[in-house]
Amino acid sequence: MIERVVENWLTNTNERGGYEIAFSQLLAFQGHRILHKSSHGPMEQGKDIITIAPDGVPCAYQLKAERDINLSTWRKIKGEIDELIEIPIQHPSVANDFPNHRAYFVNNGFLKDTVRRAIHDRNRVAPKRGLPILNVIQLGDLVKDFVEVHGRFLPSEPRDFRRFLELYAIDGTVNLPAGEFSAFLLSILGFHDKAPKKSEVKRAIASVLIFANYVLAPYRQTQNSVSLINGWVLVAAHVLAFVSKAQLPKKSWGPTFDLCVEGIEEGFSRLLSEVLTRDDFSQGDPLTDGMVYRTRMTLLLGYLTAYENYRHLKNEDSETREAIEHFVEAQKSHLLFWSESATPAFLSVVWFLERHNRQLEAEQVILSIAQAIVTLNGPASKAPGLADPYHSIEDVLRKYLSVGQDGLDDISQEDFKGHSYSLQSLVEWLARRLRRQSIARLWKEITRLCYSEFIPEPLWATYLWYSDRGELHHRFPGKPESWKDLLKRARAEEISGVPELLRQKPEFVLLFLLVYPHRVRPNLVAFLDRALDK
Amino acid sequence: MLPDFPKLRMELNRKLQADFKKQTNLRAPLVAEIGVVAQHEGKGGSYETEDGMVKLIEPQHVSVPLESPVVSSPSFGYDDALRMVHEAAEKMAREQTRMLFAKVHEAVEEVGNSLDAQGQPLRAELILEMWERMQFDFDELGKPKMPTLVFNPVQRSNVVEQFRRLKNEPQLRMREEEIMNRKRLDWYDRESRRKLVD
Repeated sequence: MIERVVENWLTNTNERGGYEIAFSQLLAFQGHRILHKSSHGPMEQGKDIITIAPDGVPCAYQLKAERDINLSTWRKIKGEIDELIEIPIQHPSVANDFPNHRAYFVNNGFLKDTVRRAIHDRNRVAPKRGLPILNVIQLGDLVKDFVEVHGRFLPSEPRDFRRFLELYAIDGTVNLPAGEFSAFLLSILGFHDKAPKKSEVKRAIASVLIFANYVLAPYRQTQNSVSLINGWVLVAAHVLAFVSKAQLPKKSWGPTFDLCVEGIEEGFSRLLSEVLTRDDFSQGDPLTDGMVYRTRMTLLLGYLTAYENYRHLKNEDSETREAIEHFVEAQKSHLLFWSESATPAFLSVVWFLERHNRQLEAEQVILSIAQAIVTLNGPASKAPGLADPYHSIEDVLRKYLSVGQDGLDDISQEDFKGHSYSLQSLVEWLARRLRRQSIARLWKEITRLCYSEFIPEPLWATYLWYSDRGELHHRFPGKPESWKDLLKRARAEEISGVPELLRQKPEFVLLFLLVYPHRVRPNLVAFLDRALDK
Repeated sequence: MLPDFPKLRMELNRKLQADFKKQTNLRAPLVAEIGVVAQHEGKGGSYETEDGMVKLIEPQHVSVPLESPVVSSPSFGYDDALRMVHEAAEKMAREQTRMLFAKVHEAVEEVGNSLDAQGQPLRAELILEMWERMQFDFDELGKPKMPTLVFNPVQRSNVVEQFRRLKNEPQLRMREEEIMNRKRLDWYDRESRRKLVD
C-alpha cells in the first residue's frame, strides 16, 4: 500500500521541487554528506544537489519531474545533462584535482527506449573522453529507495494509516490541520513507544521527513504557501521534540532539520513571489471574501514580516526588504486581532516596524491589542471575549460569523473572560520600551484579568502541539504593581522557559510561535525581543 | 454488518449531550454561573494568590451513570433517551453543586471566614453578621453587588420575612447601611490599589 502511495505522490509531482527535499533526505540517510542544494539559477551548472558519497566520491544530481522522457524532452534537457557530466564540481569541500565525480540523472518517470539507447551510447564513450558516465535513477528506483528508508517507521495502526490517507487526500486549499498533522508525525516517529535504538533513530527522522513530503504535496500543488510553511515548521519542531527526548547529538538530526528549514524558506519564497506581484488580495467568491479578508491580510502581514525578521536574525540581507516595507505600509490598516492566536502575527509586524524606525507606531499597535484584550476579556465586557490561542482561526471566525454548530462546538461552551494568555507578554514588551505612563493608564483594567500560561513538562514538550503533561498557571497582576519590579521582571534574562535547542536558533523561534500561537509565553517573547535588538 | 447510520447516530448523540449540559445548568444555576475555562493540554494547574502563594488545582472527575437500555429496543425512542438524559442531568447537577459547596466550605474554612449559626434559624441579624465578614464589590454607581444566598426551599418564607425585616426595621437598615459604607470604603481602598507605583 505504501508503495502505491509513494508512486502516486511521485508521479503527481510536476516539478522537481516536489520531491527534492525528500530525495535529499534519502541521500542523507544513505550516508551522503550534502554539500549543496542549488537555488536553480544559471550557476547551478546542471547540478541540483552535490554530495559526498559514503566512499568519499563527490556526486552530482540533476533532478527532473518529467515523468516519461522521450527523445524530444531529452533534447530539451540535454544542455543541463551535458553540464552535469562535463563541468567538474566546484565546491570548497571538493578538491579541484579530484578525478571524475559521479553524475546522476533523477526523474519521476521512465525513459523511452530511444533515450535509454542515447544514454547507453554516451556512457560507452564517456570513459574514453575522460568524463563520468551518467547514472539514471528512475521512478521504480525512487519508490524502492523511499520505501526502504521508512523501514518500520510507517503508520502502523489502522487509525494512523487512515489519518495519513486523509491528510494525503486533503484539498490543498484548506489550512493545514496542525493538530492532526502533529498526531501523524508522532505516529511515524513512534514518539510514545519505547525509545528507538540508536541505529533506528536516523531512520525514524528520515522517515518522518519523507512522509511529511507526501502529506504536504497537496499544499504545494495548490501553492498554499502558508500551509506549506506551517507544515515544515511542525516537522522541524517534532524532530526537535524527538531528539530532545532521546538526547541525540546534532549530527544525527542536523541535516534533517536543515532540510525542514529549506522547506520553510521555499514556502516563504513562493509566498513572497505571489504577494509582492499582486495588487489585489481578494480571493474566491466576492460574496464572502470580505468576511475573511482582514484575517487573510493579518496573516500575510505576519508571515512576510516574520520572514524579514528571520533573515535579519540569520544576519542575511533581504532583497525583498523594501517590497515588504511597502506592503506593510499599504496593508497595515487591515490588521485584525481576531483572537489571541493573532498575537504572534502582531508581534512580528511590530518587530518589523521597530527595525525600520517606526518605534512609536509599533508601540501603539501593541498598546491597542493590550487594550482590546483588557476590554473584551474584562469581566464586565458585554461582548464575547477574545478566544484563547488554542482555537483555530476558522473556529473563531465561525463563531463570530454565527456559523457555529448550534452551540455544540467547544468554542461556544468556553468563557474567555477574566483571563488572557498574551497579556503578560505584551505588558512586559511595553515595559521594556519604558511605556510606564501607558501601562499605568491601563493597569486598573489589567488587574481585572489573570495572566494564564501553560508550562509544558518537560520543557521539550514545548515543541509538541499538545503536551500530555504540564501545568496551566494563573497569576493576577500585582495590586499595586511596582514599576521597578515589573521592569526588572520584563528585563530579566530568564531563559529557563526557553528549550535548549530554541536558544540556539532564535531565528526559528519567531516562525515557531507563528505556527504555535499557544506557545507564546513571556520568556519566549523576551528572548526574541533581545535577539532582535542585538 | 447491518445498516447502522453512524453519522446520524453521532449527531443524535451530540444533540443529547448538548441537552444534558443545558438541563444540568438549569438544575444547578449556581454552578452554571461559573465560567468555563478550558485546559487544552497538560494535567492540573495552579494559581497564585494575592499574597504570592502558589496553590495547586487538582482536576476532579465528576460522573453520573446513564442508565441506557442494555439491549436495543425498537420502542426506545428519542423521548425516552431524552428522559434518561434529564434524569442523569438531575444527578449531575446535584453532584456538581455538592462539589461546589465542598470547595467553598474548604476555602472559607481556610481563611477562617465561616459563621456557625449553631442550629438557629436564619435571622436578619445573622445575615448582617455574615455580610460583615464578607468582601463586597460595588458597581460604578457605588451599588453593592449582592452575593447569592443559597437556602433550602422549605425555608423560603422565613428568608423572605428576614429580608423584609432588613428592609423595614430602622435599626437593621441603619446597621446594613453602616456595613455597606464600611465595605464601600474597603472597596475604594482595594480599587485604589489597582495601579502602577514606583
